[in-house]
Amino acid sequence: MGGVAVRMSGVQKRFVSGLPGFRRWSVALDGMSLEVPTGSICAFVGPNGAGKTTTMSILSGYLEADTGQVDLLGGGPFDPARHRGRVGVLPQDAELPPASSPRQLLRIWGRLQGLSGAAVERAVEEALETVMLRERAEEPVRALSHGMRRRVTVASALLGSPELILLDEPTSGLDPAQAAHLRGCLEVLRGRRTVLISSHNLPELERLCDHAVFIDKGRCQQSAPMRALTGADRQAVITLEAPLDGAQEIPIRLADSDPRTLGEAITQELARLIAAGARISEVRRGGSLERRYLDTEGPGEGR
Amino acid sequence: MQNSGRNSGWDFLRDVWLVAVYEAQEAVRTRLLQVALLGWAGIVVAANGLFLWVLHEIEAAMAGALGVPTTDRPGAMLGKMMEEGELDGVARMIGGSENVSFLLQQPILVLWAGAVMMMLLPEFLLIASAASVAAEVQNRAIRYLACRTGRLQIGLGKLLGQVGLALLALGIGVGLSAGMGLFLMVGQPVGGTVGGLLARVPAILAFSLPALGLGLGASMAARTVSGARALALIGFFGSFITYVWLRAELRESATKGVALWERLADLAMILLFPSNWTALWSPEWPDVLAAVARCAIIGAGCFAAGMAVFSRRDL
Repeated sequence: MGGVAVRMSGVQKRFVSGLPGFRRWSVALDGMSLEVPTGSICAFVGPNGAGKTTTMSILSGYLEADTGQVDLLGGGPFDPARHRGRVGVLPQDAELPPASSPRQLLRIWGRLQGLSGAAVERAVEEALETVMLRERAEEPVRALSHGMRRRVTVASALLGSPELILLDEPTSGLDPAQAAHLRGCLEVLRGRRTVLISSHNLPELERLCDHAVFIDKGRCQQSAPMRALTGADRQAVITLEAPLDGAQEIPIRLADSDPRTLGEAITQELARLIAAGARISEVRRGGSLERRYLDTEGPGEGR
Repeated sequence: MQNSGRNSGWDFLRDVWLVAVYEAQEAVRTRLLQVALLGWAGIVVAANGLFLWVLHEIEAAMAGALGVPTTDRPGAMLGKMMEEGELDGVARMIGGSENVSFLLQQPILVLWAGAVMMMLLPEFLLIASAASVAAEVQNRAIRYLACRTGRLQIGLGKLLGQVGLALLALGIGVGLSAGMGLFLMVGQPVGGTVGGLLARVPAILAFSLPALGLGLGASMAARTVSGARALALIGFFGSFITYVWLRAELRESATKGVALWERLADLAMILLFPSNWTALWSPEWPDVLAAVARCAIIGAGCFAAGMAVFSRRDL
């Protein structure tokens, strides 16, 4: 693959509230520009009110941008005629129709996506299998727990293997086993589908994603591959079972001018430590996404 | 295969049909609609029951006055009068028109139950359709459809789904009326009642189209169910009150001869759905078709106004 699956350029979006004469405008997006590489699993990170959901809603066609350009899969802004079946969406806070069963809903949605005949049935069963919901697939949605309903919405986004999948807080409401299972399902898509995930769960995003976009105040603050953001190619930390010369954690940071690879540097440092009698507890490449996020965005006071 | 940019007319119609199925499938399973349909059935039974009781009382009084034996069930005496044209003669004596003569050839229960359903189905559909889109906008369930098909297809699919519900309600009404005619009346064969009522279904449905369009239009324009219902009820009863007022004004101005005002009022009457009630009972097909067309245009106008908002709104 290669290229860009999602591109936003200078997008602005304002919301109005109040009665005529007393109207108040709030700026949700203030010149948002971002690119998501094709085939990547991209983390979309930002504090509350940064514009994540507004961005996802514009990408999904629920909201219209006031100004700026949006392009999905080279076909312009979201248009059901052009993008249905090619873009899967997990909307935030959208309730499911309560009376139908998950299988019935997925069948109708699959047909609306352009699937037909046996392809619908296959896609529905695959989606139900992915979210581990086949056993409850015939029950009305109102009889399902919150977590199970969430799994139905995840299934709707993955239905029919769309080229681009937009997920707003996909593991919110899922138990740890289900969240891990979903992460596994998404990892399988790496390189084959483009996935944009908006979430506050940074450790999860770090494990899953290979690209990240930081936004704040309606603008993109940083967009880079995950390894570059976390320093996975240039830094590491060796943790010792007991302190050596007063230090239990030994950081390794390669300067830009250093010709060694990080692996070589780690090997050399391990050899030195072992020769000095140290016992190694753990070797961790890179810093954390959370650390990088806090360094970029600040601790979040006053938000 | 997944869709990749299809936009043919066939796909458009398929989407409309799928949304209609989705709408009807979901609505029929909701307890609110089940209760509403039960209420509808109850009203039809109660109205028919009241009519049969009154008819029985009148026939018993007449039988007493004429000194002829009475029957346990109503309908025998009235049926005989209608069959022999006596009722038509009475109607003509008191100034009845061709229209009335035509109506008096119909089974009496068909006239009554048809009028009851024609009077109540618009309100039933108004309330049901006003919740159709607004409820899904309110809880954002509309997003599952909006990322898969166009908003026009959603609106038209919802409309078609509501027509399906109207046919279901009418089917219940026809079935119950036919059953009551068979078991509680004399001389009301099921075939005659069902046939007569089925022949009235297009007119009843046509008279409901403005309410359906108004309800759906309000549903697409408002953000909440209560807002949509309020908007729809204001439009519905507003047009009914305006119709009554304009009719009274027209009668008065006819005596004064204010030509311009009469023309304006006549024009305004076309936009008010209650003005089509009489024409929809007419024996003349051109009159019926013109009334059906007017009802359809009023409904389509309301629907289009709502769609204009819905097609551009944030979901």
